[in-house]
Amino acid sequence: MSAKKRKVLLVIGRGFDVRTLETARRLHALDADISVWQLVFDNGLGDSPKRSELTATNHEGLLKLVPAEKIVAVPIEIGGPVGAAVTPRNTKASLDRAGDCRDFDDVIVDISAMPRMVALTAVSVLLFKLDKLAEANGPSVNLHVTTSESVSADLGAAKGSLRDSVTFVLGFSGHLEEQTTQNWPRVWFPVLGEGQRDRLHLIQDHVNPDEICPVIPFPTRKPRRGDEVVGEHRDTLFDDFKVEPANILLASEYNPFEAYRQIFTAMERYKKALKPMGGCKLFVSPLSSKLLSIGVLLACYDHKFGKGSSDRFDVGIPYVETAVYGDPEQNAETADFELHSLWIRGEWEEPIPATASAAVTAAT
Amino acid sequence: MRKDLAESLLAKIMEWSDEEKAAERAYLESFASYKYDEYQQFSPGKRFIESLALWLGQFTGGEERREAYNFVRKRLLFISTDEMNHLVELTFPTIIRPILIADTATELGVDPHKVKAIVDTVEYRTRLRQTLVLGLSDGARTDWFRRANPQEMSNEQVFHAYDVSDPKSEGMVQDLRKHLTKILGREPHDHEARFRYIVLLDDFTGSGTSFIREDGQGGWTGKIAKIVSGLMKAGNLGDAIANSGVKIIIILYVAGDQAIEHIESRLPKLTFGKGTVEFEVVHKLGETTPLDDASDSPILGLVADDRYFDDDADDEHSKVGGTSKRYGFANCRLPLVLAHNTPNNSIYLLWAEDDQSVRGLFPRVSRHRKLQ
Repeated sequence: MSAKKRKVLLVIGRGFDVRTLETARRLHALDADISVWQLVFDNGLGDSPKRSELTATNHEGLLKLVPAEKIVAVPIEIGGPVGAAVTPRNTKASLDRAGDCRDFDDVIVDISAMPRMVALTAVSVLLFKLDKLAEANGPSVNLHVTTSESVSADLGAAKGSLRDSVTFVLGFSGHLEEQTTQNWPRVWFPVLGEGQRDRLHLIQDHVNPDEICPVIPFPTRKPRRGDEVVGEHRDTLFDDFKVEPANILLASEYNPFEAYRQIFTAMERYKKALKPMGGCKLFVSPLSSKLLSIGVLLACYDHKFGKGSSDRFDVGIPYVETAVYGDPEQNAETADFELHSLWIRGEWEEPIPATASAAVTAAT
Repeated sequence: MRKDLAESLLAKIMEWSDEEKAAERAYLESFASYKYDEYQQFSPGKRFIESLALWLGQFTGGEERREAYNFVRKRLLFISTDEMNHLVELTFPTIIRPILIADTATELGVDPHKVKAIVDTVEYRTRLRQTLVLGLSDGARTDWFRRANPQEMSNEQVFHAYDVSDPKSEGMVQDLRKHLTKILGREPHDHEARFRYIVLLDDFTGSGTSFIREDGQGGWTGKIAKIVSGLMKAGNLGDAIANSGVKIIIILYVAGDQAIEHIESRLPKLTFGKGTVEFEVVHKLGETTPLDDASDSPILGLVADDRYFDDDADDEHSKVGGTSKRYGFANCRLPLVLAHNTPNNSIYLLWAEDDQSVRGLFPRVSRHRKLQ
């Protein structure tokens, strides 16, 4: 980034989370030409004084990093505790209205302060747009996703109540309601984190899977984290869902691309194994860190839109949104988090100059 | 012992109410089935819950047993076979491949981020084939490493041991030459048909002393020092590697901070005339894993109690670690169990051997058997 002044679009959430400005600060330090789309969420319920104050502080911090005229507010109605799930559809519509990405060298989606359903929808919508732009011989714009990871900050931000219905990421329904394939076996991969018991039950009731393959974080910074996640959901997994220990998958907490590989490969195995039954329906619920959620999303995206996908397989991504946030239990002074950046598409996929590899065609 | 009998015994030893018994029994059964029963050194027919009942029974009833049980529930760190295999699977894509890509990018003078194109170059494929992977012990699981990377590596460049016979070494070089001919589209030069990356794999170290340590005479000993010395000599693997620009990459699947610090502080002082030595860990246990004097004082109180230590555990190998094995070899204080054996860097109470006066929860089979 420092080699030349790049035009960067930063897509960021307007929120209370202590991690909201970390990416903006880093970009500011690199002297990038930054424009911001600030996603402003509205669930129609208003915010508590504490959350309002934290959100306002974060916004003031952003104004110190980026001139006000380069910040575009992008309102998104995300709906209240009951009623139709509108978040994915509204997120896409808002991003469509916000503008064009083609004028930028890099689009960076900082999902640290975004509700998960907004984050997953935003990344998949922008990825699809930029892929199509490049396929149509337009510019190949880089897409990056950043997130400031902290288990304690996630838990501190997650206080609140859940919606009463299951929502699917836009474009990833898994054909759950399709009548002609109602008899196909359903396999569900819940990617587990802390405090997900209620979400698990809601999604399980909705999807009604024949087989469950929980994904546990391992390796992790805190080496017992995987065991603690299993212990916390023990009765749900082993007593209620009757999960076979052999069905448990492991996904590196550090590396979402390895989580991608685990989940993508497991899905591929089920697709092949269940072909004699006509087919199968696959579902993934990203209930762990946001970093792993992006790995999960990419696995689903590549099954449907990836260059290696022959059958455009629609994996469902069911999730239960937070309806009402409680006041966060985070401390900006002591928050211990690590900024991760994932380069999803763009220049890394492009060829290198033919002269660079002396014998590039000798054996190919 | 039958499972229900073992559970009744456990409930009696712990003096659990019916409510406590129901809750704890469900938890223990789940984790026994999920992980703990796979411990490979349990004697035939013996399983975790029975071992736990007998282990807790050696402590004085009441507070001591509750603290010991609490340690098992809150601090025990058991790395299962599946978890270890997962770490093996992560080794190539997260450590080896990025090194090869970065070196190839430097050679070609291109942006190292262009990974998709770089891995298609002859230069990358040449470096990949010039990589020799060797196991430092049985725990290296080179069989699993090989199966996890079938598209990336040839069988002939992965070997389970670092002590390679002369014919094997010569065979590896012949295979390397044959494959390079295909990759390059020509016969490789002699200097090309030599390994440039030596990857040394092992499963675990708690202290790092068996890998490298001062020999007391101004030199070095331990596995790494011996291998580096061997690679500098003529013949065998010394002839199979290039004369310069060689990277030795030591990769441990699991390591404690104490070991990482020990190895990293010594490696720069170790001379390797043909190149460099790097050290990587797939899963670092971190600073919170060793038992802490303050927060873990109840279990450390039992560890310190002479009733729960057999002096027989301290042998000549303890001297290398510099302390008694009561708190684990080299005072590592780990609460760690590996599915195939408990490391002696863990507290003695976890791994006390079957022929000793104290009962271990996951009894260890020692590498250093005493002569009878």
